[in-house]
Amino acid sequence: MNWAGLLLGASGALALGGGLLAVVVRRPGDAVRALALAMLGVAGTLFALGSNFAALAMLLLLGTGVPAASLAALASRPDEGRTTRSSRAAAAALIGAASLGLLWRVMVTAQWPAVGGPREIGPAWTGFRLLTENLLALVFLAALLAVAALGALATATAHVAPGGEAGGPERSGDESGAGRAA
Amino acid sequence: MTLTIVLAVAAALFAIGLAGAAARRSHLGALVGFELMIGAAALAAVALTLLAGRDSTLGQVIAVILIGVGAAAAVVLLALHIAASRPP
Repeated sequence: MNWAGLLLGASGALALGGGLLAVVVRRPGDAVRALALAMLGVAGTLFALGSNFAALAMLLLLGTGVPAASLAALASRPDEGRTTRSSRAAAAALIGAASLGLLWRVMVTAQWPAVGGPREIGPAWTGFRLLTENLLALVFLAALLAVAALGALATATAHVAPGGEAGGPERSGDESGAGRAA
Repeated sequence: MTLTIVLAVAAALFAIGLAGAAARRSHLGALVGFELMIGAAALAAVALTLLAGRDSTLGQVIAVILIGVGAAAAVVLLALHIAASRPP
């Protein structure tokens, strides 16, 4: 087995192991660290497939997103007191198993076209294509990121009214966060 | 054979992320599951374009766009998490 096969196997195992760990652990900080392992595994798998540009983009997301999520986990309330009900865990496991079976059926057993075409595509060529033929998608992506950043700033800096009437972000956070735990 | 294994890994990772997003209650838990699903989708996009014999640049462009969408969702979910965990 060559180095690419070894890298592919190790990265796939790292991605699956990190993903499982991120879902299983209860503390937010541990979940973020396990997510970092999983994303590192995905980046390694992309690199082993020859997709260096996508692997670098995934590493960029890892380098920016994981520290931010770690800071958010530090700023959040401790989660140890909450317990997941067994019915909810069973429903989540059922959803995961059903989606895995469906995806396995479609992706692995489908008859895909024959392999061929160019494969040795470098990051420079990918960047060129991204900035020429796929420029519209890149512009839309930049606009989406800008809107998301502005919305996140507005949400994170929103103040609660003195009478206890919280704004939209506070109320929505209660509904999907602590409100559901009650 | 190798690409089939990669597709199987992507399918398993997507299922794990979906189950995690359904099981966790906090915004951070949902973010972890969502990011796992985005990574699986990017992996599947690259593997499928290679398997179909197309120009692999197309898969990489799709993967980069998916990663950007994941970053935007992460920004919003982290802001919601911070706003929800702020003491009254």
